[in-house]
Amino acid sequence: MAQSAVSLPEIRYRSSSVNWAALWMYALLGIVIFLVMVPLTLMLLNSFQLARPGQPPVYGLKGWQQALSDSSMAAAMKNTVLLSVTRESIALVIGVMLAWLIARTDMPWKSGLEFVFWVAFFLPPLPVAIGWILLLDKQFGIVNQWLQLLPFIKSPVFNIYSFWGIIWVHLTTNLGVKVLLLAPAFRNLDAALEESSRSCGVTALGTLRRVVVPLMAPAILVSTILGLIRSLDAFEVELLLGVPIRLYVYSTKIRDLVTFEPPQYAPALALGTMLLVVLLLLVAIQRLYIGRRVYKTIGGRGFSTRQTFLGAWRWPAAITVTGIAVAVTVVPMLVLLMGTFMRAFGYFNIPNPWTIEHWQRVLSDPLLLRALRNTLVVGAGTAVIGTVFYSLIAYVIVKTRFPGRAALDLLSWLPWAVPGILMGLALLWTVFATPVLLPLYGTVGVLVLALIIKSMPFGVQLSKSVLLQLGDELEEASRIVGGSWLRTYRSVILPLLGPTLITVALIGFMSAARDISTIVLLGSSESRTLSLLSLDFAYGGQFEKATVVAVLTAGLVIAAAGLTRKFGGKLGIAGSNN
Amino acid sequence: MSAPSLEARDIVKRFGRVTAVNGVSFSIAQGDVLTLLGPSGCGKTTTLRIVAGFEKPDGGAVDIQGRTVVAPEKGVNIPPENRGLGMVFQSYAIWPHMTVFQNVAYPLVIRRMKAPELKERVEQTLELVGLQGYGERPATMLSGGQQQRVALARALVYSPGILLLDEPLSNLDAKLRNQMRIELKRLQERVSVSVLFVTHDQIEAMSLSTKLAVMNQGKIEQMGSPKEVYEQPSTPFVEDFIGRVLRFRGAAAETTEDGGVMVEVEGTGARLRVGVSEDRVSPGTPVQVAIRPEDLQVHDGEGSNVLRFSIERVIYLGAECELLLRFGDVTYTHVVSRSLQSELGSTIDLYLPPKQLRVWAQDRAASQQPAISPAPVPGFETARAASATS
Repeated sequence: MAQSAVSLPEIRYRSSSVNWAALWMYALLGIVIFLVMVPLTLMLLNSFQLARPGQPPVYGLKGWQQALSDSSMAAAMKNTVLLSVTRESIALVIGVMLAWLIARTDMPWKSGLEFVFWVAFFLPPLPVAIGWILLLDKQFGIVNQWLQLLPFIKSPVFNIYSFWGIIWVHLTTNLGVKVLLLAPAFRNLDAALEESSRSCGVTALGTLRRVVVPLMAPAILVSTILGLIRSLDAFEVELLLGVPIRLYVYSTKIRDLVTFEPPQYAPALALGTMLLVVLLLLVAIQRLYIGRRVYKTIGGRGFSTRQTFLGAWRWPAAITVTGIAVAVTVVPMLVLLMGTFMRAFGYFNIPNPWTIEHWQRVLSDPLLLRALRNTLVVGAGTAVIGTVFYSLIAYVIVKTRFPGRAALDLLSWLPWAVPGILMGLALLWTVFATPVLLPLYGTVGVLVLALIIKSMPFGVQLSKSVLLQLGDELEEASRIVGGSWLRTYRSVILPLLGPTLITVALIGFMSAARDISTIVLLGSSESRTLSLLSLDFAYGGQFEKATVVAVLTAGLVIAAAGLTRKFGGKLGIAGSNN
Repeated sequence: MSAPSLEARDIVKRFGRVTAVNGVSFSIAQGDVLTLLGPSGCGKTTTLRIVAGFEKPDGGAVDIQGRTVVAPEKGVNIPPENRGLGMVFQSYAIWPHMTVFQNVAYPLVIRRMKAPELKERVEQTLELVGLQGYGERPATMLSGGQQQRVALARALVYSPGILLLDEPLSNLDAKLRNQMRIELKRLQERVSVSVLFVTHDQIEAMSLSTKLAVMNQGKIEQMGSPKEVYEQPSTPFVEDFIGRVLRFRGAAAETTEDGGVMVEVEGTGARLRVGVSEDRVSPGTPVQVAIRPEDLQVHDGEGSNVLRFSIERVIYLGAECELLLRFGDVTYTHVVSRSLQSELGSTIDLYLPPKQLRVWAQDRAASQQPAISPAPVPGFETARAASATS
């Protein structure tokens, strides 16, 4: 023994028959079951429970009766479906055109335009909605005022408080999603398929209709179903624009029932349960027929293919797309910013219409400072805890032979099907019913909990996709030289997952900072975040204050999105060695 | 030191219905190199991974330096990190986020070695593998051969008693592979570590091993020194897998007084005397006679154990000539020196020394053909080169 004679510090190990790894994994599964299944089960159970939380339970069917017979409930459901389908159809037609122009043609400015739509995807809906209120309100909306200066227009042309107003505001996010999902899919299409159609004498547009769209049908279908499911997440826009004209959707209806005095939990939970069943069916179909890699296309870098030449249509196309891009992002944001400096919004003819008073007042307002602190705490908490949690779940699913990993996979994915408002409602009951969690009620802790559940599907899927590319031998090499599992995770897995985890954390932060629907039922005046605060201001008609808070929220989210893009470019393993 | 460095007893591993490892036993003495050699899917890598602790066997036991590390019947299963092994992986598994130094230092960091000592030891080990001065390089900025050296350094830096090598040379190009093979041998002798080596390459196996175990279908077919295994293969599979072999079908005619057998080659009437029979063959049973091609001798004229091959084609290669030969239905490519070419007629006589001939019962030879065999050249089923498997 030549070299091994050198004395080396021995590693001391616990010699124990307990299988710690398995114990950890069961604990993880237990936590995920608790976070996902308990709230949903409680929601179902308590829809049959008529007493207020904390009081002795009274069981009955009254909640369901009300949910099924009340005409306002039926109307809300109808509105929900109508709004979702309408905006999804419009977004689909425009989105496919946009994605094709950006991904496959020689349209000028296309990479810049893709970036604008990418920003649109991340823009929180509330600031956009407030921006459009300032433009299209019947009394003070700038566009309406200007149009009425024309001699032949006597009454306001647009009214943002309407069915179409809601759809218009949602277009920002919807178009962003479509471009984000479809542009990479279009890029992966073999150019020869298009060229052969062109060589047969079919025009560019004809080729798009006859060849490209049919070929892209699966991707388009996925993005449509995805969009429909996600459109049920909508809450704040409907609250702000629909409720004043008594146009309710299911999410605003649930809020109404819960904030009613006394709160009508049973019908709210019954309504939620019904919707959830429908959603789960929809998701099951999607998962069954299309596959589960919902997020796969996001963050992927497209490779260049030959472009379609638009010829004379190049500039008209570029100008139209730029117009759309500017209309859905720059316009509402600029107006929002302008709004923060106006004494009374929309009134240009009063003396001294411009002021920085709102900024001064709001920035010195303890309410705002607390909301800002809450936002940062909730965002950072979700980002940090969530990222560690998601990466552990993804690890167990991908890298171990833990018998519960299939269950873990399904459960970590399930919250994707649950709209924010339902998650919030279900969690509210969980907090009431679990003595350990009760002290969390009304604190930022419960918001963090809710948002961690909400972002779980995305975080786990993204971590999984990277772990799948990570060879097992990198880990085994650490185990064999004496690294425990935890040590290996810390020194090998985490650093290699690094760039991805930063992306997951940033998106977790962003979702937390912009979220309203998940936390609106859970937040208290103590734990309000910036988004909730600006919703409260806007809902109460204090638009000047609302604009300032909304600008701050949008700024935070856009900054985080910018960082994501920086790190997202490095998505993938830092360098594979074989 | 009485206890072997590593002892595996009767290891069994099943994946579903497939028995990947079926009762494998071996032991490695201190400083020895045992090679598990076999075609892919023979269970050699699974065996190695069971020793390492990455797979749990269904039966059997593994002792490392006298300590049982896994024995499912007794409920013993020590995790890989507590087994005190070193391992070099097929992909090297160099951590791409660390420098060369950090990669090599990692096992010592885990053992909480103090900085100055750690640095010295890492430098020493890097020097040992010929990578002095490469410490600060990012691990991804290395060539395949350098990565291989880093992997070796990382496996040796904490002086494990046993080194596991999982096809460590298979990702290198041929030239580098030869160089690393020699270097590996030198290194192993220098640090006198016991090695369990897994490969499908017979040249690596022959040159590195002190003991060679040829595996097939989850079992060890033969274990012995490389010389033993090559010169006295105990099964037709081993004979086939290691080195080249030329076979003639025939029937045993009679046994000779000295324990040999006379075999009549099928369809030709030619007779071959085989020195010693491995299998007991009684007269009349169908057999195969096998010989290593390098044992064939060009003979002048007829004689006993001389077969007259017809020359079907001559391929001129410059320094030498390749002859495509046929005897009955046996075809064979024989290489002769250029000078001999001028003397060639349409036939060539080759002498098959009785001592170098082995005889196998026909059914046994047929059932034990290796799973992978090169696609036959139409019309010319040449003798198989074992190194062609991959």
